[in-house]
Amino acid sequence: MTQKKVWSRRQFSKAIISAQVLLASGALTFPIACKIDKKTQQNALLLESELETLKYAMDEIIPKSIKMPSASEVGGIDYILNILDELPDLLPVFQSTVSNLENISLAKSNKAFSEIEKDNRVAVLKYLEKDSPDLFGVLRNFTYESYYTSPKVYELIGYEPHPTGTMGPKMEPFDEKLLDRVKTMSPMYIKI
Amino acid sequence: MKSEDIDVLVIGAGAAGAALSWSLTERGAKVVCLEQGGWIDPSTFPSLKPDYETHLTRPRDFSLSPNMRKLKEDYPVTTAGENPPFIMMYNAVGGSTIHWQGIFPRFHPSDFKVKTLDGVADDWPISYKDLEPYYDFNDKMIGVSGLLGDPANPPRSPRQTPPLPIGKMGNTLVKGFEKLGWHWWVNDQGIISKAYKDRSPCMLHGKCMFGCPMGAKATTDRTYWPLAIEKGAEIRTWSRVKEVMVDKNGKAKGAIYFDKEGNTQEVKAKVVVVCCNGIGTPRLLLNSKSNLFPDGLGNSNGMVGKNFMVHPNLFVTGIFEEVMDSHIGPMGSPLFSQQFYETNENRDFVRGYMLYGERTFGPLSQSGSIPWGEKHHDSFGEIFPHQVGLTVLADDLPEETNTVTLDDTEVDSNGIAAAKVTYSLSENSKKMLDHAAQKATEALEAAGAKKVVVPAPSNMAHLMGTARMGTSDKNSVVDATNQVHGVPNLFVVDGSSFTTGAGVNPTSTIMALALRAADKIWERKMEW
Repeated sequence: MTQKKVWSRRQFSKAIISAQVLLASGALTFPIACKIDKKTQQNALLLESELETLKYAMDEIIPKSIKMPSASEVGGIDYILNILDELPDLLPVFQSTVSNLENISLAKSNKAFSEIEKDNRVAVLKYLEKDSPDLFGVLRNFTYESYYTSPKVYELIGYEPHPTGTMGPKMEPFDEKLLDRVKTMSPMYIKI
Repeated sequence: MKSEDIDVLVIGAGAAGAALSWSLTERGAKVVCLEQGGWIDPSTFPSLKPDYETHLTRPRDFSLSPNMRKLKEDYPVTTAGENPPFIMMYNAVGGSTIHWQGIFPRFHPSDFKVKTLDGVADDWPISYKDLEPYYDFNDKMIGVSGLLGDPANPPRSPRQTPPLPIGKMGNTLVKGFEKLGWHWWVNDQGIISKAYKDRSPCMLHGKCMFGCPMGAKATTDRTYWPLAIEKGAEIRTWSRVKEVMVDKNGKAKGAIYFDKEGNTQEVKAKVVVVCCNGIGTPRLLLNSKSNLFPDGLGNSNGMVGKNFMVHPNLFVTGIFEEVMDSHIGPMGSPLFSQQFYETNENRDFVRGYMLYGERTFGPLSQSGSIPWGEKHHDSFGEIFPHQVGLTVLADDLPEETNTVTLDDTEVDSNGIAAAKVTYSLSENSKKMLDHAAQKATEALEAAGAKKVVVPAPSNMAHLMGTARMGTSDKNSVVDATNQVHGVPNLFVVDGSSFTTGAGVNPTSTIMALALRAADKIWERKMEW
C-alpha cells in the first residue's frame, strides 16, 4: 500500500470518480485478476541447498494428494522468495529454520533432510514444531499463505476470489416472503 | 483558515467527526478537523488484490489492529486484565469506517434505561426518542439497505435501498430460525444495494473490510466529508493532537498538534469537539494535563477512561454437508436474530445479545485451524466451503474496573504516551455468553449443521464508554448534550460517550449522537 504518501483531497476526489466508472464496468477485471509477481530462482536469497530443504519441508506441511498438488507444486518456493524480498528481516528466520531442520535430521538419521524417508521428515518437522514453535510457525504460516493465495489452488477448491474491481458474483435478490411468519410476531422490544 | 476564524475544532475524522463537522458547516460554522492519518487512496485497497487475506493473517498496512500495522499515524495500545481485548481501529479520514463491515442496527429503547428496567449500570440522560430523528436523518444522508417491519425494533423511516442478497448461507440460517420459530430479520446495512447519491451500488465482492473502492460502503470519506468540504470545512491530515489547551478560566481554547513533519503547531477555536473513539478520546483527555486539570481534562471526578466496553462476542461456526459459499456476498451480516435481546427474568443474567449471520473470509483465513501434514487436504475439504458463521454480540455492561489509562512506557511516533486497556469479562457477560453459545448451537443444528464449533470469547472493534454521558457530574464525563462537565465549550462525541453499550453494533448510534450534538452546539452559538 502507498498510504504513507500524502494523498490530497483533490487527488482523492478525482481518483474515486474514475475508479467508480472503471470498477462498475468491470474493465479492470483482467489486469487486476492476473497480476502475479513471480520471482525467478536466479534472484534467490537462499542457497540452492537451503531451497531444497525448504521445498521438502513445505511439501510435508502441505503434501500432494490425489486431487491436490503439494505446496511447492503451486509455486511455494517462489512465493517465499518474494516474501523474503519484501520482508528481508525474515531471511535469518528461514535460514535458521532450514539449519535446524538439517541439524535435527543429521542427529536423528545422519542424513540430509532431503535424503531421509517421508516418515522421518515428518518426525523432524514435528520435533521442530515442539522444540522451536516460533520458527515452525513462520514456516507453516507462509506455506499456508503461499498455497491459499495461489490461483491454481483457488481453481481446484472452487474458490473465486472476486477481487473488488472485477465483476462481482451473481446472487439472487432477497425473497421477502421468507419473512411472512416473522411479520406476524408481536412487537418484541420494550416500549418506553 | 486562520486560527482566529475557527468556530469549531474537531479532533478525529471518523464516523462522529465527519457527521458533526458536516452538520455544523452546513449551518455556517467555520470548522477545522485535525486528523492524525491521511486520505486513503482507494486504488491501494487490499480488496483489489487476490491476496487480501494476508492483511488478516499477518501484520500489514491494512491489518485491523494498530498494534499490527504500526504505521506512523497509529498509536500503540497495550492490554491487560483477565480478558485483554484484541484492539481494532483505523486512523485516517473516515476512521474505522474504512474497515467496518457496515452492519447498521440501532439501539433499542430499553438500552437507554437499563438502570430503571434492570437495576444495573446507569440510564442514559437521553432516550431512544431523542435520538430517533437523528437515526433517520443519518440513514438518509449515507444510504442504508434494509427492510421495514421488524417486530424486534421500533418502526423506522423507509430504507433508502432494498436489502442486500442473503445468499446460500443466509437462506440456510433462515431454515434454522424458522424451524425454531425464532425472530430473525435482514440487517440494516450501511452498504447501498442500489445507486444512491452519486455512489455506486454494492457489487457483492465481499471484501468490505479491506476497502470499498466502489463507495457502496458508507465510509465517511465518501459520504459526509465531501459535503462538509464543499461547504467550507477544512481537514488537516497528518495532524496528531498532543493536548487540548485550556485558558485560565478552564475553557478549552484549542489544541497543540504535531504536523506531518513533526513540528509542533497550535490552533485556537471557540469550541473543541473530541471524536477520537473510545480509546483515543480518553487518551487525549488524560494527556491534556494543566494546573486546572492535573489529572487530565474533564477528569476532575476521575471518570475519564473508566467503564470501557468492547462487546464480547463468539464467532460460532456450523459445518454443513452442503456447499455454503459463505464467502460470497457482502461481508456485512445478511441477517440477525434478536430473540434473546431483552432481559428475561428466567435467565441468570440481565440484558441480552444479538445473533447474526457472519460471512466467512476466504480459504487462507479458514485454513488457519487446519492441521498440517497428511490429513491437511481432507480437513480443509470438510470446512471449505461448508461453514456458516453465527456471531454472538453481547451487551457489555459498564464496569469501573475496565479502563483506558496512559501506558507508562509505550509512546507513539510523536512521543505521546500510548493507551493501555485493562479489561475483564463481567460475571453477567460470562453467563450471557454461555447462554448465547447454546442458542447459537441450537440454531445452527436446526439449520442442518453436522458439527458446531464454539470458540473462546473474543471481542468486536467497538470501543465505548470511557467518557460516558450521564445524569450527574459525579458518575459521568459528559452531559446530555455531550458537553464535558465543567468545561463549557468542550464536547466529546464518539463511542466513548456511550453510557451503556447495548447488544448491537454502535456506528449508527455514534453518528446519530454526533448529529444531535452538532445541533446542541449550534443552539449555543451565542456563547461562542
